[in-house]
Amino acid sequence: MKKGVLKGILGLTIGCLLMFPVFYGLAGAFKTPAEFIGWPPTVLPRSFANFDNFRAVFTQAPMPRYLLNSLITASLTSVVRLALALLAAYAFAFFEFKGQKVLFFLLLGTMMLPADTLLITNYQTVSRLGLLDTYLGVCIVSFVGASQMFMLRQRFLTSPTAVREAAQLDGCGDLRFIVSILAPMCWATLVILFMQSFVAQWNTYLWPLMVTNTTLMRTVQVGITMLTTIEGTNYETILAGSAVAMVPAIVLFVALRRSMNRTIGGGATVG
Amino acid sequence: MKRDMEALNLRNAFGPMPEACRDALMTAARSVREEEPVKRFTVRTALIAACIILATIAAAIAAGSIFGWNDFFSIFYGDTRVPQAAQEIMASAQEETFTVGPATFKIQERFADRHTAMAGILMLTVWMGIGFNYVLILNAFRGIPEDVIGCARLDGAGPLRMLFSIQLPLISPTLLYVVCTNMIQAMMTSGPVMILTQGGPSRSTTTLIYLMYTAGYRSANYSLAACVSLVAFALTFGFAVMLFWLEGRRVTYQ
Repeated sequence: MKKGVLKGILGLTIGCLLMFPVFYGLAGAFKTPAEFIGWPPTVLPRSFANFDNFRAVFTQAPMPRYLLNSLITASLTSVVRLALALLAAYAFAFFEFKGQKVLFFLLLGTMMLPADTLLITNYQTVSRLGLLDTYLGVCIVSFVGASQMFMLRQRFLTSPTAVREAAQLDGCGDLRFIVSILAPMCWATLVILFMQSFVAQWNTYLWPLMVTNTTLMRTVQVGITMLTTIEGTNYETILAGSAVAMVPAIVLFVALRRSMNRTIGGGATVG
Repeated sequence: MKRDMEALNLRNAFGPMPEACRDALMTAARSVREEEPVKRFTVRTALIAACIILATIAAAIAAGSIFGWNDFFSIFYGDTRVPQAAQEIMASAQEETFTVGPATFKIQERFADRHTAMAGILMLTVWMGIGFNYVLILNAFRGIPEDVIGCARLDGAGPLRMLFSIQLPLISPTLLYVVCTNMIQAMMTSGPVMILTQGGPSRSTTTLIYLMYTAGYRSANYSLAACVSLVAFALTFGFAVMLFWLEGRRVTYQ
C-alpha cells in the first residue's frame, strides 16, 4: 500500500515535469498579450475564460480548411506508408534472397540523409510531375518510411516461425498470411506506427510550405505561422493555434489507446 | 518560389562541366582540411548522439520499470503529440527567468554559457523524443509471454535478474530499433540548435547538420556543405553497421 503511494507520487512528479512545457503553452493560449509579455512572467493565465486568442485563430485564417488539409494528407501518408512498410518488412523478415543485406542497408541509408539536402531535388521532381499545390504532392515524398519498415521487420522476426510454417502447410499464400494472420498478430505495433507517422506527418512544416502555394492547400502547421502579422509575432495567438492543432492528434491517440495495448497470439504455438 | 528553385539547380551548374565538378570536389576537400572545426564537430556530434540515446533509453526504461509497466504512466506521454512548432516556441519563450513558487529558473543563462548550452539542447532533445520511445519499449515489455516471466519467478529470479537476464534480452529486437533510430535522429539534430542557440555561444553547440545548413544555405558554400553532409552520412552509416554487427551477437529473436 505504502509502496503504491510512493510510486504514485514519483510518477506524478516525473509526469508533471514532462508535461510542464505543454501545460505552459496551453496556459499561454489563454493569456492576453499584456499578460504574456509582462514581467515577471506567470505560468497561469488570469482566467481560463479568455477565448480571444482562439477567436483570432479562427477569424484570421481559414482554420477548418487547414485542419482538413492536414487530416487528409496525414491519413493518406500514414496508410500508404504502413502498407508499403508491411510488404517490405515481410520480404526482409521471411524471405531469403540475394542482396538482402545490401538492400536493407540501402533502405536504412535513406534515413541517414539530412532532410535539407533532399529539398531541392525533391522539389524539382514534384514540380516536373505537375504535383505542386496538390495533396499528392504534399504526401508523395513521405510515402516510403524506412523507419516503419525497420520496426515492422524487428517485430516480424520475433513472431514465432512455426505459425508461418503451419499456415503454409495449410495452403495459405503470402498475401493472405499477411492480411489475416500476421497483421492481427502485430496489431499493437501497427497502431503505434500509424500514430507515429500520423503525428510526424501532421507536424511537418518545411515541405508543405514549399509545395503549396494557395491558401486553400496550406496544412495546419504552415497555417499557424501565417498567423504572424507584419507588426510582429503574437505568441499567444500562435499558442492558441497550436492548441487547436493538437486536438485531432489527441483525439486519435485516445481512440487508439486501447488497441495500442492489445496483444494477440500469446498462445499461438501451444499444443 | 519556383524560379528561385530553378536558379538553385546544382545539376545545371555542374552537370555539363566535369572540370568544374572536379574543382568543386577539390575545393571541398581542401576546405574540409582547412576548416578544422569539422573534425571537432564530428566528435561532438557522436558524443551527443551517444548521450541522447543513453539518456532517452535509460529514462524510458527507468520510468517503465518503476511503474511496473502499467497504464498509469502512459497518460503522461503527451509530448509526442505536441506540434513541433509549438514545442520550439515554448522552448524559446522560456529563455527567461521565471518563478514557480520558491524556485527560480534562469534558463537564459544556461544557453548563454558555452559549457552548459549543449546540456540545454540535450535536455530539450531528450524531452522531445522520450514519448515515442516509451510507447515502443512499453509495448515490447507487454509482448513478453506471461509464462516466461512466471517460470523465471518460480526459479527465484529477483527483479534485477529478471530485468537484465530475461526481459532485456527478450525485447532486444525493439531495443535495437530504438537505439538505431535514436542514433540516426541524434546525428541529424539541427532544429533545436537552429532555434535556440544558432550554433553559439562561440560555436559550442554547432552540430554537423547545422554546420551543413549554415554553410550551404547561408554562405552558399555548397562544396563544404556537400562534404559535411557526406561526413555525417558516413559516420551515421558506420554506427549503423556497428549496431548491426552487435545485432548478430547480442540480439536474440525468439
